[in-house]
Amino acid sequence: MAETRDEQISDQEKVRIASDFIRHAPPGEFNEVFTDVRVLLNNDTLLKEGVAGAFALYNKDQLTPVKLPNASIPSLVTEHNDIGGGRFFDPRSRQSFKYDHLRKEASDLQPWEPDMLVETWREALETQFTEYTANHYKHGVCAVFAQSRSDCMSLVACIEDHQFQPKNYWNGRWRSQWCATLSGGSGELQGTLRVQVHYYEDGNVQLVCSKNVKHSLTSSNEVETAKEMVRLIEESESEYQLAINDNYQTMSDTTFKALRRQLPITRSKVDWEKIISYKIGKEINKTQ
Amino acid sequence: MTEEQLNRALDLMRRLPPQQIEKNLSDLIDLVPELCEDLLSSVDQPLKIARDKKEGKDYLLCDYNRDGDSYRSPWSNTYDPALEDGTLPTDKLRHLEVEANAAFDQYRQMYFEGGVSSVYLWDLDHGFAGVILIKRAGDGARNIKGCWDSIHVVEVQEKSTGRSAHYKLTSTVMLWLQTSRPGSGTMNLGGSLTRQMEQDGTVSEPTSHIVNMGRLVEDMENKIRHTLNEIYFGKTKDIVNGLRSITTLADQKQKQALRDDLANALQKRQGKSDP
Repeated sequence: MAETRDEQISDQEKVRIASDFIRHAPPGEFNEVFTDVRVLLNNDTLLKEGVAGAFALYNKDQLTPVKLPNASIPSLVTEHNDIGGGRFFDPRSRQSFKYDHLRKEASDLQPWEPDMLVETWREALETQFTEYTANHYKHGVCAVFAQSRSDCMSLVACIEDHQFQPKNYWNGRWRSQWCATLSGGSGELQGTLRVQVHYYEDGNVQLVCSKNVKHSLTSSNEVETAKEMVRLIEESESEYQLAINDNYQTMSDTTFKALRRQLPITRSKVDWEKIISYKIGKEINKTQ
Repeated sequence: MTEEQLNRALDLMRRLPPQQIEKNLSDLIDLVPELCEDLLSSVDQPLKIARDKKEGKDYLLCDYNRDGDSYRSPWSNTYDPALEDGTLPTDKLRHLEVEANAAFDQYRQMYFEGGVSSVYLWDLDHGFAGVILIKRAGDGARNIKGCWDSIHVVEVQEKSTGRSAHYKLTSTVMLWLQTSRPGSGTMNLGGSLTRQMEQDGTVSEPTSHIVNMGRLVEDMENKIRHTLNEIYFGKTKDIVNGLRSITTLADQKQKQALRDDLANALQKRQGKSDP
């Protein structure tokens, strides 16, 4: 914090603050937060030069869905398919594209070569995972990425689903990110599940949840491994959703009730005249 | 330009996660120092507790009992750290303030069965204004941390007859719930709702104001409590369950088809039995 309230902070600090604000925009409200930050920063050059990186980080962190002009199934913008220079790849349609982080649009499509060492594994998982997503996420978008390394193979599967209803003053998003590292018949499956809900009619209420999950894997062939992974994922995600619902129950039945009663123990509202006269009575007793 | 900036700043505070209100407000003030006073007086923050060592009681801190970097205790009516000429209410108002604190202390005990409350009053041209603060932290049972903060700002406009007054109440209630458990990871449900209410009241003696304000605050808090329950544990939960379905959507379609078949069968049966 600045030494005195009148001291101006450095440009670097301003960029840090502006970037932080952008990166914490609730799902569906990036444009509003961007406009707020732009007016408050009041320096478009600094915004363009220093804060533009935050736009990309935000979109990748949010697993932002992207519609490609020539593909029927949308893809996701994530850290796993970022190939630099503002370009990302879609393994499903075997293309790379330029992504505009402010307009949220894909353009300049180019063919993209998959890594043939792992492509059969990736495709097998993509098939199972797409069916899983369709089964549990009404408007969900998923993407599967694979990478071969010297001693192992890594597979990443992401799901994003959202509901944006700004006219009703609420927005929500679910994000799943599952990473499997496989090497010689065994491996580890690690997941990060995140939920965020924002309700803002005459207020600001947010639910921010996250959970990390770990499972060990045995891998045989592409299809069996994919099925095993999806089985574990389905189990973990449903368990997570049930646990969240369970917490809601406890929060409302126990925690909330213990903070403030609906009515005093007398089962009727406060008698304010009595409260005032009681205090005056005490005063009279004191002076006697 | 500054008014637009203030509106943008307030809009931003309504969108950024309320779980980081203090950091967000501090960053915002750093970014736009000209808005400092306006922001401090219009952005509600979770209430902080301080100890009045003289009286051995806790009190709550807000912008209305702040003067510079010092805060005034409603119990001893002194500033901490001490101030040579800190803003104090007039004697007449201080007397009412003492009564109000005692009354709302009882109100707090009856509804919250614990916690801390504080009332601060200040003069206006044709009346006075006040803030009633309540803070109630949960005991952490069932591994869930909870906290309730009430900030009620009331404006009292005395009518020229002196026999009645108009009360305008703006209330913000903050509710914070967080848990960290193996099954559900970290779950943080928090924020605030704001409502406004106004009504007239008869005034036969100065303490009538406390009766009138008390009733208004009580009704307001009961209403907000109900809405908090609906929004926090109803609405946000429904939104989560709308994002992901535990039962497969294929199963759901099947169930719906069965429901439709049954409904049709029932309708046909009723048609046959009607005379």
